[in-house]
Amino acid sequence: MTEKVMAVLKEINANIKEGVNLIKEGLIDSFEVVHIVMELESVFDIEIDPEAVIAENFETVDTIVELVKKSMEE
Amino acid sequence: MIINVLEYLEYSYEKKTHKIVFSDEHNEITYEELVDKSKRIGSWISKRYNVKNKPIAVLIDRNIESLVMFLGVVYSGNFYVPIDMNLPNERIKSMFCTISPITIIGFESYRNPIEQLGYEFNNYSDISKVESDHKILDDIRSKMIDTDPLYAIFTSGSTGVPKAVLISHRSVIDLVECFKETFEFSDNDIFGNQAPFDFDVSVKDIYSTLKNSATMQIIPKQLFVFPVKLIDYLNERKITTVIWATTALCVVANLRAMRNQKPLYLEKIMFSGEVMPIKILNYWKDNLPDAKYVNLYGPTEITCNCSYYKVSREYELNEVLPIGIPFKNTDIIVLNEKNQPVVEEEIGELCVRGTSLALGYYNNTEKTQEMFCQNPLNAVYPERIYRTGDLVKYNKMGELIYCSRKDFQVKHMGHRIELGEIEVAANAIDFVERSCCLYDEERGKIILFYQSEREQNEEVLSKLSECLPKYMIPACFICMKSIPLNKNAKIDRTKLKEKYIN
Repeated sequence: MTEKVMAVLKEINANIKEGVNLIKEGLIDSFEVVHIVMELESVFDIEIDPEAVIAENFETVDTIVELVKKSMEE
Repeated sequence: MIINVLEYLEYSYEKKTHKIVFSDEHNEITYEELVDKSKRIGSWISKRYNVKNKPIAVLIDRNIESLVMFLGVVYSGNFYVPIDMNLPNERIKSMFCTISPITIIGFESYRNPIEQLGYEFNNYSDISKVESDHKILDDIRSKMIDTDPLYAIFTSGSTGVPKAVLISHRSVIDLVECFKETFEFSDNDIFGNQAPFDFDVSVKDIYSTLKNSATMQIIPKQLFVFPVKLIDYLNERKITTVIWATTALCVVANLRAMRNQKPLYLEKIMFSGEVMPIKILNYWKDNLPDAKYVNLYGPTEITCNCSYYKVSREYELNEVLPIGIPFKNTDIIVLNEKNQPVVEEEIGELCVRGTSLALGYYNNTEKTQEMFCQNPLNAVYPERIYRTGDLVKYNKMGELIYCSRKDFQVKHMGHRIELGEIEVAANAIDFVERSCCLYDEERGKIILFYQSEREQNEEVLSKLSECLPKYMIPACFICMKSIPLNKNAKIDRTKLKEKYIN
């Protein structure tokens, strides 16, 4: 799962790695979150609740993986 | 007679002394404080350097201090050049090299990176503390004229070297006067600024605010990353007017950000920078049916915008939103390949004539002469026009319709093809969210990238065959979950090319 998520993120920015704060480090920026969301939705065939598209859920690779897991359960 | 944008600031200061003029996430500043602080900076600069009409680089952030520094530079009789330190180092170096700034001002945290590049740096807190010298400031002002430069903004040069577009006071005065008249701005307006300050979309926010004694809210960048909270912010700050990049409106629509919350005060929604997909426009109109929608068009070189279209009817998905009609005191000439005005629905290059034209590209005579050239319809006295490189045509109502970039015109199997035309056809397909066409010169192939939830190449092919001649049908279809955008929120053709090659 983490690998699949990483593949999506690497497409957006090759510098993204695990264990860093993506937002504070400026690794995801401007309009890219929308891309990530749309990409994750299609790769995992899920629908991510717009209310869940908040900074806390995109801080690290782990929180994004969590978000995907949660969205799969729903 | 207005000859300097500072007159707007001073008029509003007289009228609305204690009103908030600019506000960011954490701080706000009144007209009175703004005049005071920017005069101090202006005094400091002129005492220290004693120069006029020279570039001073301002290191920008999304805060009110960036705007205080802009106006401080203007008080000193010089022009500001906004620089975003988040850009790649090489690009920043190349910008400084083009403009050779007299000095660079910003927050203390930028001192190290600037001094490492070998430039002088002065920090905001120091230069905004000194006493104002009214005699010096009055003296500077009395010698200034309206064709003196106000700012230079860099545009992404397709050749790789960024160009600094130099704009005069006169051009900005022309712009904000037209905007007020055309869109009926007043001191009740609260502008919600989305565009970064090194992007000329923000010029409309800043100077419309000063001109109309209004208030401008600097919306944190984060909220365009996570738009669910954006709507709350618009409501908390009671924002009435937005002049945004088309892509910012797309973000809200694509994340369905208005599902639970709707903007309560928003009355005017204006957009530019990319062709507005009708699907996105309809999403906004469904959610905010009473707001006014305006499509704005124009490159940085003619001071933000030269034409506008007030959305006045429903649009079908296969239609294109017009870029409309020229602003007052701006003339648009559409020239064909023989440099003659087009007739009927003939396609030609959009050229602009008027006060809005930039002074030129700073320190780049060659490019300036190439892009700002003599009006070919006038052989008897010097008259400049700006050639936008955008291909347009008139519709039956006499409104301008954007077709494509001149450079995206290709010759394929003996036919002249506008790649933009194929994109319009693809965008009309209900499951296609965006599209972009490239031409592979070597193999003589048209490639269509389209953004869609699912890959449906056969379906795209058959739909296109319904409306395009055979020679315009792409040979290769690439479905993407999201088409990459560049820093200016436009489709990133370079990245698409790379993806195609790989």
